[in-house]
Amino acid sequence: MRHVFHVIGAHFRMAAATELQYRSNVWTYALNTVITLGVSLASLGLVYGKVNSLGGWSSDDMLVVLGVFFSLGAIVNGVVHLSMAKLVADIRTGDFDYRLLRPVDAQMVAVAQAPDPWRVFDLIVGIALIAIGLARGGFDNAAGGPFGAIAAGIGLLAVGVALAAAFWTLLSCVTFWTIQGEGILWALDDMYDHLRWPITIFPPGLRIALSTVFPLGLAVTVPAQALTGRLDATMAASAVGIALMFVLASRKVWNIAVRRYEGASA
Amino acid sequence: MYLVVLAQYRANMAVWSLASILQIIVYMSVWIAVADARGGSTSGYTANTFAGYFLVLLIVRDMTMTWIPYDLPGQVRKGDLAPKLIRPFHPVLMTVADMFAFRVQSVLTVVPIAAVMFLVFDARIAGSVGAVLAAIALIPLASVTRALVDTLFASTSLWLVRIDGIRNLYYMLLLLLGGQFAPLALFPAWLQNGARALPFYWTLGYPTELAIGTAPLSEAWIGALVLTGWALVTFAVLQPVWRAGIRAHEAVGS
Repeated sequence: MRHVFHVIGAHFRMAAATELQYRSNVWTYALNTVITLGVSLASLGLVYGKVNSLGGWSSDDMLVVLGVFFSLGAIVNGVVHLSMAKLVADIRTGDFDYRLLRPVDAQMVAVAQAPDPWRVFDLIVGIALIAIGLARGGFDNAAGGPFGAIAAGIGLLAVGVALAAAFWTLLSCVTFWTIQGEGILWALDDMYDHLRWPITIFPPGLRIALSTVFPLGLAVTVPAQALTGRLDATMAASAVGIALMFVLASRKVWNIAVRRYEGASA
Repeated sequence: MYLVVLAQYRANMAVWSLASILQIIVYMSVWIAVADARGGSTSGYTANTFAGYFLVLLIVRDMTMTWIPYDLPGQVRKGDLAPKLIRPFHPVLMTVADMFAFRVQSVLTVVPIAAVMFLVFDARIAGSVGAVLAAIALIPLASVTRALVDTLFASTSLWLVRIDGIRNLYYMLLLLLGGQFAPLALFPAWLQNGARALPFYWTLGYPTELAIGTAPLSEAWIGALVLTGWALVTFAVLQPVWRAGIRAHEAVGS
């Protein structure tokens, strides 16, 4: 396991070294983050111009949700998506053959092989939003005090990352059979982009869909709940359960897919 | 021909439509929650009329959208644009032709989905048959205006090659000022005026409001006039921009 993380770490360093050669990109990415942040805050402003609390969430609590959205998004869009896009491209060109030959867990590396260092902006913005939201709104009597809330929040964010990685892998495995994966990955990015709201304010059908079919809604909501002291034992447990299910399923499907894979280069 | 290509990538198309529908449902649900929290209505919209607005918007958006902001920069980067420039018609026209095929597919998928959700969310619209017909009549005009504005923003790629930042900004303008996040009536007055002064609202929010009866039918001619005006202005601006862009472009990939 340590070996795998070592290899992933090396990929991160390599990506950073490559990206730093194209410094003008930094403005594009900074602009993107600022625009996304601005629109998010504007939409919160519009909603909270009408109400003080939405489904029990104050505007400060909503900043925490937004912060989790940005932080998880930095990982989903900045690491998982791009790595999966590379995987899809590698399958098409046949480069994936070489990946399989290397003596390291191919699935773990495939999920993290092509990180985008500029997404660090999103991570910083996310953490800042969480901090501001908590500083203004407080922890709302979270069990275990601030320390407990932060520990639970980080733990559940990790669960969210695992869930996202597994979900993306599962869908990318579809490309083993059909060569149409890349478009799907972009569409998923787009879908994630709308999850800036806690799923508890949604009607039941949508809430269930965003917890199962596209479980990223749950992955964003649960850490925010933990941080703002409204952790719901059932929801947290189902998040952990669903994450576990997706991780196991992605593992299984990955193994089947690799076994059926015949290589495009041969 | 393009319709045949699309049909092969059915899973792709399904996920894309799902993504575009998710956006609408999420914002609709947020505003329904707001209406509920305020005891039934806000700025003249109830849960049912919010549903009506967003579901009609779903159809309007699909009928007017283009892929030009994705397509053109891609062609510039890969060098695919260069051979198309030699042909005797405008390269963007090919993307527009593809979009017609996409519309046919959209009508077949999005309209039934919107119809089902209309029942699920008990959506109401107050527009008369005449208003709905007027909105439908405005769609081609709105599409043309949207395609021209899309092309104008996309043509920055002739200089910049990568326009991720500009495209994001453009889509956010369309989201907020176009009325996709919320009906214009929920904005503070200054923002409403700002949105009316720009083309985005007229291509998306306005046809929607016309169909659901929020915008009066008797003033539909104003909408048509504004859209025509924006189409002409954008077209006029696009001519020198495109020519200068083509000169600056110098064919990546050749």
